[in-house]
Amino acid sequence: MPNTDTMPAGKKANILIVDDNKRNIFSIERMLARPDRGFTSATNGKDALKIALGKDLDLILLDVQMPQMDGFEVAQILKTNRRTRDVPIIFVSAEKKEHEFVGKGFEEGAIDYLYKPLDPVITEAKVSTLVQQYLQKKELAEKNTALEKYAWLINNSADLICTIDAATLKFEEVNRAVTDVLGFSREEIMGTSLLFYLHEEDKPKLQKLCLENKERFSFETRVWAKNRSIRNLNWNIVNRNGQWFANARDITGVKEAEEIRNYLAAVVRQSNEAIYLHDAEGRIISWNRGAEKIYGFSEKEALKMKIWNIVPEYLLAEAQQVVNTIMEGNEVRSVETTRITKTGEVIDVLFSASVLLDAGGNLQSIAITERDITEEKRANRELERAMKEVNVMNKELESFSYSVSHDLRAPLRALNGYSQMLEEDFQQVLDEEGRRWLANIRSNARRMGMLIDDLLAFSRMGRKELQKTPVDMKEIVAEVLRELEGSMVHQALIEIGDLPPTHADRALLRQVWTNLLSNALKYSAKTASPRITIGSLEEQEGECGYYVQDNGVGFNMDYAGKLFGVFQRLHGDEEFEGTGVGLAIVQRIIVRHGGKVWAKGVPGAGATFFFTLPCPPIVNDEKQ
Amino acid sequence: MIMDTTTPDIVLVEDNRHDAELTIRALQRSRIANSLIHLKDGEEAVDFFFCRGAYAKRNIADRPKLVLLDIKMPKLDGIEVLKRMKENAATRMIPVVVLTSSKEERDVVESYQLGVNSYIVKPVEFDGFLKAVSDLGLYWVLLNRGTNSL
Repeated sequence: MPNTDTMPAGKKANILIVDDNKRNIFSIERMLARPDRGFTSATNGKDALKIALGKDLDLILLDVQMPQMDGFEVAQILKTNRRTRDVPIIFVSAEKKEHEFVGKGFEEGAIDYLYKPLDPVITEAKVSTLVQQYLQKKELAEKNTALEKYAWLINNSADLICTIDAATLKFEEVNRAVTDVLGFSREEIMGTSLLFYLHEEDKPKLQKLCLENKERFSFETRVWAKNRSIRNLNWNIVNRNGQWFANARDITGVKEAEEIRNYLAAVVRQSNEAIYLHDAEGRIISWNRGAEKIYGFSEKEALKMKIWNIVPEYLLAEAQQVVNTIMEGNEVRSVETTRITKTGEVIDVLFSASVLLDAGGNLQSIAITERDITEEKRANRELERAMKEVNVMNKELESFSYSVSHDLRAPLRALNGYSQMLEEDFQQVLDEEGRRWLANIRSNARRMGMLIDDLLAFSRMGRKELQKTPVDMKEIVAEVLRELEGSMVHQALIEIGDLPPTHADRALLRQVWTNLLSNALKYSAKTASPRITIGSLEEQEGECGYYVQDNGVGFNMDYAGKLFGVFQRLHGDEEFEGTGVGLAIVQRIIVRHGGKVWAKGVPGAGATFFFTLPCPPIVNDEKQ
Repeated sequence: MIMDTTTPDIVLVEDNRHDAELTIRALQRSRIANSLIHLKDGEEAVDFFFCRGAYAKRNIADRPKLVLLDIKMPKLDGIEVLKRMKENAATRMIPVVVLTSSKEERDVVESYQLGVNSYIVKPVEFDGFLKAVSDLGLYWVLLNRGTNSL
């Protein structure tokens, strides 16, 4: 007897017996009876087809000679149907010659023949062979389908799935996720070792795991992808028969998110601003160190409070309104408001708030940041007060100089005018000495006029607002020299070096050059061969320097400190005319521009005046 | 020197009598001050231009050929006088030269905005002043016929 293990327990092989003679059917059933077989029968072709189409059969024993539809016809139809075409058939016929009649269509496949009278041993052998073959084929097909499904599942997994040789750590089989994450093709990866992709620092860890040779283990590694990016993988390994069945998850995104979260948490923790969260009812649910510092409440205390505890009473309604607008999804940015600390101190804060929603769009909490601007505001108020004072003083100064300009000049005009009238109309009455005295009165009046004008000009320099523009120093120097040549007669040799452009108030800078150059001309006028050099210094610490050098009378360095004072002169009026305001004006203009001015001199050997200005801002739109 | 009912060629509005005397002398020497009135302050100037008070009998249609107007005066200052003159159709066309002892820009800008015809800064040096005054006087009184002779 063939062994019955081929059938799963409780499942029977279904055998259809087709014969127009019922007796034949019984005798075949008896011949083949076994517990793992079930029988169905039909006495004509039509019934046989009906049964075959309605039931899973594992074998058909088909009588060839039947009225109406013979066995071959039935078989032909069965072979055309998908459901029945693979079911093995044994033709049963009376004569051997019918075999030759069999069409070519039945030559192959699960087809066999039996001849009447049936030999029980041969019949049993053929039936059990065919049934077994068919069942095996069916099982294989089912297994294949299942395998296909697994393959599909594995290949479409977002996780990396692969087998790795436990000894060499070489990849043996990989799914698509492996190629996707590493960026290498399957062919490139196959046969390479996992170590090849591993971050240097992770290698010892993996080698240790290899040595431990546990049956199951997990670990995390960083691997290099083909594009030189680092991916973080979390591995789960089943180690069996020298093979790792490995599953890895790409947690790079999770890692990054975690890093960002840690970073943000650190920022919040260390911030000097108060950063805290509260819920819709105002209950404080987080409280950073900055908030502790500003408010004096510890985190522990704050978590038991509501925000209303830090809002002054008169602002409570407003604060509630702010919470409402935030909950409607609006942001509040940098609004100045007032809060109360633990000690009851009132502080000014710059308040910002926005709503935090969960993934479902529901209100989670309201996030607040506040900066303590109490000091800032106090400083600002003081600055404002000081500015106001300065403005008042400036106004006073302005009206002072205004009246100086009017009221001091009128008497001078009279002094001068009447002296002149005396000179003109009473010349014959006055002697030489009297006329000289009159001339002295007039020249002194004139000089006082000059002093007043210069003093006014000097005070104007201090008040005038700077209007900075790019200034071409070469151009301005040429302009000033041209103008001076019209008003001063001189024999000086003037050399002009390189003069880089600057950024300054052009009119005021022109005044600087006018004063320095007219000084140079004036104080070198009595030298045998006067020579003036104009040039620039090398740029230093963002400052551009310029100088004017002459070989005139020079000065004693002991008095260098006095050079730039108002009405300070190092030379007598008889020697060189002047009021002593020119250099004071130069200094005032340069200092207002943020620069410096100084001088070097040797008595009888000339003087050099230097000044610096902040270098002009770098501008990109160079002229083509 | 001048009758209240007549209108002179030149009106000098100047509160400082020394400045006034010097100005008049300069104009006389240029022989253009034959017909000149010196008004002592802004109030008197307004009375004169709009024929009020002491000048009630003057005819507003008789326009001087030139006004020399000091800026800084007590009570009504020169700018205010100028403003009123320019607001009134009868006086708007009278040429006004502003005399000022200040180089302060605000005087200059303000008076130009009001439509002065010229201004001079009174220098301490009297020669320059004389020249400036006589040049202006000559120009406006002798050459400029546009405003009054029509």
